[in-house]
Amino acid sequence: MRIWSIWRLHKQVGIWLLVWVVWMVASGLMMNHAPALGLAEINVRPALLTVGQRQPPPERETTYQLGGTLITQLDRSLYRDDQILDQCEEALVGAVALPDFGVVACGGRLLLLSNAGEIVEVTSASDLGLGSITAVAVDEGGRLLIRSPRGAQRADADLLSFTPVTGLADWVQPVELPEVLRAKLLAQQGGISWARWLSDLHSGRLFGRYGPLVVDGLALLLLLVSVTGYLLHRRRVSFIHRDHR
Amino acid sequence: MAFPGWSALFLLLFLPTAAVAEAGPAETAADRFLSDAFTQGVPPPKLLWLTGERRATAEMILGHAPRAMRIRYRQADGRTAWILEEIGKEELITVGLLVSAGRIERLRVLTYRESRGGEIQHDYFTRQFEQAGLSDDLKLDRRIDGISGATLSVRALTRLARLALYYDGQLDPD
Repeated sequence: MRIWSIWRLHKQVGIWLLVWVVWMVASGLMMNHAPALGLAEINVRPALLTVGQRQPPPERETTYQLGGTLITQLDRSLYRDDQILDQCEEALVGAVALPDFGVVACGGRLLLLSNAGEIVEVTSASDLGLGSITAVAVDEGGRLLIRSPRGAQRADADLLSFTPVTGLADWVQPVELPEVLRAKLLAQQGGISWARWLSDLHSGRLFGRYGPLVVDGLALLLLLVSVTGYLLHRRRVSFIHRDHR
Repeated sequence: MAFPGWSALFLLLFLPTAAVAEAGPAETAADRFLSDAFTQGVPPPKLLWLTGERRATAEMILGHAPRAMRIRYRQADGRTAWILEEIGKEELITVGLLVSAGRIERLRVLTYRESRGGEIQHDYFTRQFEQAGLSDDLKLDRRIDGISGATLSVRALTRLARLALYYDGQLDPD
């Protein structure tokens, strides 16, 4: 009667554990082949993320119009439309289109972009002899104007030399980030890849801080079921041998 | 007539403020590097375009494509000054390099943003690069001793030193 109870318990626990074993085998196989499947490059849809996996909203969010494109800063990431452009730890202060290239000013950094969006030059405001940049504008002649702690300056065509200017300039102002683009950028920024999602599922991290403990418990249970399975099998074999004798 | 005490107090309080106001906006590390490098006056910047083989070589030295298509430098009296940036582990390190006759005359870490490995900013470390040149295989002609815990930052500095020497070799003498 006692053996029968152990056998029933072993069987029931084993059936329940089967679900977990399938989950572990499937996620493990997928993780092993994640690079070949390109799972590290594809982000999971936000709806599939658990609360713990979701990123908080960005602390810094600014957008400027640059010709027909939008330059957006979300925290430290700079985007040209929905493509990552560069990283900038300071605040995006403006973007202007000049006749030959576009200029993006982010704190102490100036990015010159070709019309195709390639980075032509990355230069620091201190290397330009300006300390830092607080605003940018374009004058009537298509020249770049920079506002810095050293005063307003007008750049030459190659941005090699600057001359002080006086008077008011029409410093560019931020524009509103369209909601569709914002959602896309947030998904890129806060998103996690399928490879990471599978790893979180495998380890139990997907289910919060106690998830890995539950997985540990299930693993110990599987170990116990394996041991009881072996012992029950040994007992059954010895019974069969005794009956034959 | 005795010097009035209040006037002395006034001078003590306001003279330093006046001196700061006179100095204007703070001088940056790059400003200091350039003014130390060119005591006769900082020359105007010039541009080196990274195209064709030059870009491919820069990519080989860096181990990745250069971020930009052109580099700003200053040149005077047979010396060139470069302010270059490279990622150490996660953050950009800004470095000033002065090259003279194909050898590094001075290397200064202008901005270090990583949370660890700040030892590479010290003179005892950067002095190792002085008088380093470029061998035929575009490596430094001397060994740079590393710093434990700052391996990636040391490598980044070494790459920038090689890059500055290579860029310098690409220029026409002034």
